[in-house]
Amino acid sequence: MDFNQALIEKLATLARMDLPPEQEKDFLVQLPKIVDYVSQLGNVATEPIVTEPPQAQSARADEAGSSQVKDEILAQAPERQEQFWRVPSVFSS
Amino acid sequence: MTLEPHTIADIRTGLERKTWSCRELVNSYLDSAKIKDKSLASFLRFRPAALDEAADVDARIGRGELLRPLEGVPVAVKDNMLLAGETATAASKILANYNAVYTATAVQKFRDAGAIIIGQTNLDEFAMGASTENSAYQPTRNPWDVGRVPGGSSGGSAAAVASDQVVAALGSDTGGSIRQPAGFCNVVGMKPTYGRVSRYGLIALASSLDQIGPLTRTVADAQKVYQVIAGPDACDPTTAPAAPDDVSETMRQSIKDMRIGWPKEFFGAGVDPNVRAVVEAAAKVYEELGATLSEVSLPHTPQALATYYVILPAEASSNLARFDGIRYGLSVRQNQGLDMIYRQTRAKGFGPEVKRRIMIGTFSLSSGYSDAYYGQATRVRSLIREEFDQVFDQVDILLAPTSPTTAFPLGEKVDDPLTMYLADLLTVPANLANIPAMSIPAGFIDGLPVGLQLMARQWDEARLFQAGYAYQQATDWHTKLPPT
Repeated sequence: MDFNQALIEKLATLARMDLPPEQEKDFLVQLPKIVDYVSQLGNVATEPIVTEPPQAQSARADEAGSSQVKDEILAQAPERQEQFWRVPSVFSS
Repeated sequence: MTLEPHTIADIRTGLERKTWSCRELVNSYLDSAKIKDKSLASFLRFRPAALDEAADVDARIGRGELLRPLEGVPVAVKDNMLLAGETATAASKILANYNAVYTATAVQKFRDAGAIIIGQTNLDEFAMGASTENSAYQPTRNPWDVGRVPGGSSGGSAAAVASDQVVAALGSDTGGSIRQPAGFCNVVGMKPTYGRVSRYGLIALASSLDQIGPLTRTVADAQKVYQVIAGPDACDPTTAPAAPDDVSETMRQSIKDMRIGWPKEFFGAGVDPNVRAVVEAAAKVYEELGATLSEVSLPHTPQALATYYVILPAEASSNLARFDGIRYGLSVRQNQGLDMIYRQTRAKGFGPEVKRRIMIGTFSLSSGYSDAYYGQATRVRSLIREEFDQVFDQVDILLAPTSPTTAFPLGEKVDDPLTMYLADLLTVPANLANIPAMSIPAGFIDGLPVGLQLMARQWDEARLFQAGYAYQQATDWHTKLPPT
């Protein structure tokens, strides 16, 4: 696996996170070392392992409850319109 | 009034005998903390409201109400736990102005038991780190040597307890973030079994690993806090449905014939021989107390750190997707469309370590790599868990160092992420295996504390506290106080 600049840019796009050029430069050095370290897991024999299903979790009863925090949550909206979060249009007009 | 290190029991006695009022007590802790913390920076903010809450405790006592388990105890909480109406930053710029709209279950239980939160403590941003240097606000310093780190990520909580700014604090432990700073600062730090304490209202790092637990000076105090915060919660379906047993009595029982295991893989390369010598001395103490000691093996321990550093970033990158500049927190808006709000908000709001882990997590979950990395890591995690299960058929408690070294100097590892990760070498196995574990003070090397790590089988906090309590009855390391 080639941990190059193209891969770093692709991952930054997938993570919706811009990287300033100097950080990209650091990551080109640091991330391959980390990935190289964790790649040792590839040598572990795990053939007989069947990943156990997650513990059964009991869901709580599906009952409607009241919540009084809508206004407090919306008060922290970067941009709002009435009782909605406002975002730029995703369709070009 | 003169302050001295108090235990929870001391405070109860003081309130009962009216040695001081709760308000006087909390006021003196706050005053003293504000002075001590100038050199340590363990708090991100203090809570003046603590004084009113202390006055409420005095009023309760005045009305003759029964004292609650933690009545009037000055405490702190790590700033990744929500308290309604108050700022919670997780030490990130992306949450600089975020106000919690609800309270974490563990924090609520802490307060319902009478604890008075005097402030919120510093951490590595989103609990990602082993030194508290990754805080976007300030590095915290080790009370034993202010040129050294307190450990992390609950470094603020550990430093605040060690310097007697508070009697107890809550931390969170995803790969050692309670135990490692406890070891570096000479306090007790306990990670309960995964599912023992509700994670509702804890700002999530890695949801299959995170667990809230206490930092205190004594094992007896840790047990008191644990007992208060543990238990089922309808808001966290991963909590165990049964309420935990009260272990305060069994904790005091003799450990004669307790079977203690020496897991040889925890003493391999990278572990300072002086640290090993401290654990050997602790093992002798246990033998003198009547426990039996035997060597055991957990063969996949050397792969635990790599397993952790695949699973953690994968879960973290998913959890942190919610910080997008749309609903709350930082939002960078320059009229360039929705996608650019995400990209620029996250670019500006997250620090370097958070970005590194998001990148690694995105990589290990991405198409073409996810089975080789994330899939394989979950399989190795199963192996590690099975090995612990088998070992706990042979022994009751495992004994190991908490960390491979003592506290390191500030700045030493901050530019080398992989070296920093090695600080978690001996703590991550307990998180991967979902078992309870605890670090207790066990000695010093060149004036720096060494933590002894105890691990027990899943849900067996009773034996964990019993082993820790017995050790503190036989030793006095936990009574040593830092110079600052």
